[in-house]
Amino acid sequence: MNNLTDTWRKLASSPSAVIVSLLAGIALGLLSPRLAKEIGFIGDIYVDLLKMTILPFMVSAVIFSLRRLFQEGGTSRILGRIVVIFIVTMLITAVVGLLSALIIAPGSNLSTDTMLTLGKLVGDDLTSSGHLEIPLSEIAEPKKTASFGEALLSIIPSNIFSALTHGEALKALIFSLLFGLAIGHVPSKTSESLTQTLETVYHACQKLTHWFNYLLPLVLFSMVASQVGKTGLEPMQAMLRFLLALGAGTLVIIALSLWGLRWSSQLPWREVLRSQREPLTMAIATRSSPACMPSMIESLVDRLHFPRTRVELVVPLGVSLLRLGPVLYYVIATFFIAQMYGRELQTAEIFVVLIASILAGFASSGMTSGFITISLTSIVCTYISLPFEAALALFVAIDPVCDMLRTLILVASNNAFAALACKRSSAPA
Amino acid sequence: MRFHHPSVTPPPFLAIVIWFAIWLLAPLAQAQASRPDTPRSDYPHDIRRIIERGELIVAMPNTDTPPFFFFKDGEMQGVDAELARGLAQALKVKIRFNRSAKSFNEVINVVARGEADIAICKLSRTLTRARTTLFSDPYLVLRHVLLLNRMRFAELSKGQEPAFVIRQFRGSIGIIANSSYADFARQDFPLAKIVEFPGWQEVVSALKRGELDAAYRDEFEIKYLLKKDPRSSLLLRTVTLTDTEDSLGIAVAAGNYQLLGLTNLYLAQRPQKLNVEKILKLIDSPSYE
Repeated sequence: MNNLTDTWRKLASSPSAVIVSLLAGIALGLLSPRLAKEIGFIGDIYVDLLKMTILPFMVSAVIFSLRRLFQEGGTSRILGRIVVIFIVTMLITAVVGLLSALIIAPGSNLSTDTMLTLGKLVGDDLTSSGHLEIPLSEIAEPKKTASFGEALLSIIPSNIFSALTHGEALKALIFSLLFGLAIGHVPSKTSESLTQTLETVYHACQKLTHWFNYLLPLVLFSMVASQVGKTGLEPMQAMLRFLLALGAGTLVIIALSLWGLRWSSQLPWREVLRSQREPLTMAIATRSSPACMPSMIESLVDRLHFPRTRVELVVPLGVSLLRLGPVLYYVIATFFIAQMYGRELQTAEIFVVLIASILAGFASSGMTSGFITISLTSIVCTYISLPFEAALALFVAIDPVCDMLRTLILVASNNAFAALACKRSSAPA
Repeated sequence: MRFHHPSVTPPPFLAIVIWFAIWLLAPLAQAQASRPDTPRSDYPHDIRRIIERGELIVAMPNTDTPPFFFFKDGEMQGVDAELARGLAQALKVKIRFNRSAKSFNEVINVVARGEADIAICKLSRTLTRARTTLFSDPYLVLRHVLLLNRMRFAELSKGQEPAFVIRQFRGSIGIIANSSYADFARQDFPLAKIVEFPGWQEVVSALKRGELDAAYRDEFEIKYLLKKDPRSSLLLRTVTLTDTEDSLGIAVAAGNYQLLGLTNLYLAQRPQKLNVEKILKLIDSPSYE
């Protein structure tokens, strides 16, 4: 029985199953958009089921591992390493985005047909493309911009239960970190029972994820079919060069991540690639990096043999804060807009774009909706006085694909990040 | 009106004869009605003048503005030309178009000088114009739209709230010289730099080239522009000002109160009232190509 389910699970995330369900989904979406839209609920059920486990999983993992880490010692060393890796990987990602945008030049010399399609997309979408209807006579008041202090305040949970109720993952993470830190200081005799409870919660959540993943090919099929059925291929064709640039950047980052995994695990390529199969498939199917956490941790601990206590702390931390997917997206999207409007960016402006994209990446932490994530591109555009509203309508139209790519980067790079941060000083034999 | 039924009930055969007589005479009476009225001494001076002349003179500028007024297939067509014809019919006179004016403001002068009885040509009712001519009730109310160049506006607003920047607009605004929007723009955006152009085409191309921050006109023209070339939506952004009003009316020569009253009653009695959507739909119909 166990053997049978294991084989099925392996099969469900095998490359051929993934490709077949993807292609079948696209075909159904094109041939019968109505039917495709109707079966979209299967994917939604799956993602909701996974999301159900995210918060208990994350809270128990972080508190549990932080307590253990404290007792073992070495917390400050790992935190120092985390900061260095954060900065370096963010910069690398921004530069990859810059190169991809400059080489592929997604927004330059668009054909008249493409411009017409894009113009229609913008013209039809009156709400998000910046067309306004306002009274002239109202008293003009400048809008207050959020200060750094206010931004900081917004990630501190004043009421942990309200944060959990509203699914605010970043606030829950901050609570878990502080709580775990505190439990590390409580005598172990006292904290033992809670630790055991947390471990039970943790394993139960992981078990649930396993069960849900038996449906992976079916989910993938229905998700892709309903997306294609909803948007059709026309916006994708018009934005093809943008998708190419983003896709190329994604491939580079994934390749770098895999290399990072191989280097820090010292295992053969075959093992490394096989370990990433399930997390990456889930990234495509769920388009939600927190939902992939159980699978990511499993791939690092069970297959690549990284120490569990550290991985359990570092993966939730990375998924929440190390936002390489959005960073790459913001760089390429900003260059696309500049190129579309024929604006040459000066060297100083390019630096601003890179730094602002990293900041916007941080700001995207805890953003659960794709719309908010992409609308943060406006932070970057504002710095260099580029109009963002028209492009927003275009980005919204193709976001299902972009969201998939962003999630792939988040999952792959955070696995690499966790591997680098948890690497033992002496390589295992 | 012209035939009275006898008030006393007549013998049946007489009734039949009278009925027949009415039936036979009816077409004749109608022919009588469509002939120009002989001017009656009790008509006020403005109506008498038109009826004596036998035609209503309608002023329109010499530039075509479809779908409001344009010359096609040997005659004047469009929403405004139809309105003018209906009014001439109500007066039972023929119609003549005076297209000597080169701008909208000049049309007002033509009416003020008495060279035309009325002007129907997408005319906005403005206070300046109302000094020299009378205006009918509006037959179409449009809102003002500020059309922004997205690039220039992003530089102008520097991340500030768009509504705030628009209400204190300090950029440049292009308008058609001697049009109502020359007045509206100065009135609505006192801090802006107003730039005049000879025509709408010139305003739009300067805006697209980025030589202007904005252009100012009514919602119909702006929507029409974006509909004609969807690519413009990438470059340009519309801000509809909901509390502004550009009401189109018929200009009537000073002192012609009877004609003004008739015009208002005519507009009020039309079964189909106009709005922007209806006019935009007109453009799609093949006759407005």
